[in-house]
Amino acid sequence: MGDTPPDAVVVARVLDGDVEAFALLVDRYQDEFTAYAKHMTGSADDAADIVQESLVRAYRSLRRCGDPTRFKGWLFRIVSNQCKTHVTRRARRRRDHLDDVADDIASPYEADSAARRAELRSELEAGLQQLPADQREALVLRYIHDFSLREMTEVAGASIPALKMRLKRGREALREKLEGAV
Amino acid sequence: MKHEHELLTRYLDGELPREALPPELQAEADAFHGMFEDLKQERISAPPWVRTAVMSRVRAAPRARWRDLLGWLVTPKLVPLSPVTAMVVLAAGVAIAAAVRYQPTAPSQVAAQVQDGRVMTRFIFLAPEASSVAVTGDFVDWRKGGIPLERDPSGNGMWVGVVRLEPGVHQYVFVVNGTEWRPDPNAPELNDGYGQKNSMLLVPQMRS
Repeated sequence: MGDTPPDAVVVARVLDGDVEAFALLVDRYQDEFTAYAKHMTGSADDAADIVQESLVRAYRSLRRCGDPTRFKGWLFRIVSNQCKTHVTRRARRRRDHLDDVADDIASPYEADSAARRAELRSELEAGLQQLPADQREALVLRYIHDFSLREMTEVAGASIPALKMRLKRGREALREKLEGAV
Repeated sequence: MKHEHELLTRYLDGELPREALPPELQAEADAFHGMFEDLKQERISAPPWVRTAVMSRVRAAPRARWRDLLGWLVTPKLVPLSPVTAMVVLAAGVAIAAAVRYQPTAPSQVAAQVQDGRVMTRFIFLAPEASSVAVTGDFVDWRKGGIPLERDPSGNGMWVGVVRLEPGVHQYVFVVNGTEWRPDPNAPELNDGYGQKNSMLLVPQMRS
């Protein structure tokens, strides 16, 4: 590791008063969590805001990170909760709008051109945005970020049977929104 | 709505390798994964202002000395002890525990009886101000609603419930008013790694 001390060492330095050391953790995780937050919210701007807020919250409650060797999982849970809060609030505000979007979604496997692929991608993103936050989180973690079910339990704070149910319902809902193409 | 084939469900949950699927389900599985491929490949970076904003806010955060002190006090630490000192400390701890263990005013306790191989375990929690209390834990997959306790009719503020548990170590907390998770004040605590405390309970193997 050499130049990159492990998370637990950096956390200890920050807790010892070395505020600047926190930048190491920011640099280490901001891109990965921005990607996750963008998949959860569908918006790059919202994702950046969420990651900023989550990192500041993590700093303020760093002493409550019980096991600094698992800092990443702890931070992931903060980001995940921020995402769910964000999408739940937004869903209330935009429910009518999203219903309109649903009417525009077409079958994703009609053609394989680049344009069609881009269209499929935007349809998929729109479909994900319409799922309940728990189901969306499960699908994003499992199929975009390649988490195992066991890894997902740490982030989602749910049991494996509960996560399996969320995945199944999420897949079924997504298939229905994409008109049974998968 | 088309229902998902059971084998496909198990594959998509990570329980089966792709080779375990018949060709038609392999194609369906590939189509499903392919749908996410573009999103997986997309390179997403945080805009530079995120780092700037975070560090500005972190540097500006007030240093609460009392919070630092409190944090130091509650953070687990390795304390080097000689064997003799450790034995003295342990003996003192056992003596104190023995003195307080069976006090009738203890607000919460777990009592056990055996039935049908599982152990009837009584959860008791003192919360006179609560409108509802439940117990949740690994034995109900941490369901938020848990198992509701009943208010003791004598009006002593106790909430009581009996749960049949498999022998072994269990983790649990009480859920007060449906939202507030509280550990059992009379049970050993375990940090769950995210700043929350769970209570621990050893259910012994017993004969009925």
